[in-house]
Amino acid sequence: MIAGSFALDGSPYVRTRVNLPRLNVVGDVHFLVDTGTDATIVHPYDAGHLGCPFDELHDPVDAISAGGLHTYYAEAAVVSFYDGEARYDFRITIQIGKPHPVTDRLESLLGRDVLNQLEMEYAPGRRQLRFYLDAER
Amino acid sequence: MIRLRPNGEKPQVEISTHKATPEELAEWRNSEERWARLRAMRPELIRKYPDKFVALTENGVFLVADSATELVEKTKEVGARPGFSAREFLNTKPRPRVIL
Repeated sequence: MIAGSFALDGSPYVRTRVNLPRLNVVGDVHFLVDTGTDATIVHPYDAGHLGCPFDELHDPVDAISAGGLHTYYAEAAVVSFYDGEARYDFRITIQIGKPHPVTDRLESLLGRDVLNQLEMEYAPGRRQLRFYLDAER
Repeated sequence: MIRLRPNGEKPQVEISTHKATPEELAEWRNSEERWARLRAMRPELIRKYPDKFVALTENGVFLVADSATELVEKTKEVGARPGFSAREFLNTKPRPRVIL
């Protein structure tokens, strides 16, 4: 079981370790759990902390949101979750935002590419957020 | 809400499970503790440092900066890895939940 948490404002988060092998980048990212987003996104604030070399991102992907069109950059990634004993590695194509005034301070988003592989127990009233791999239950 | 696959293309995801080493788990727990401490301090920090960027580094140093870039630099200056710090932006303005 992978445990998430709720922030004081009630937003659901889960902590992960993100590894970008091609860029030799690794670090922790607290993702906002977002079932409304197609794919997992690392916004510039977290990407900068990971030491992501933005100039080396070369695979643009257009994204549509309520605010209009924005460009992210696709990058092979391993997003790892831990429980008390195991590490669960999700090899995905992550979307990284380059520094931009609109997105600089936004949280990174855990999207449906990962969430659709999990069963989520979402009980904000009990401040309980848990994820299970399908095979676990 | 962000749509990246208007054509309904399915993402490729490969999942694997590994037994974590004791060192790996200890490091992960230490990291969790840093994030929990910073989260618990948030109400106090937001009063003291509104709209600043703060971090609790892996070597236990608390940092305050005016920008994310400055926070990364300060973290490196104290000999810690920015990606392994617990970090927060102490935003005092309402944030849009529908992004962009």
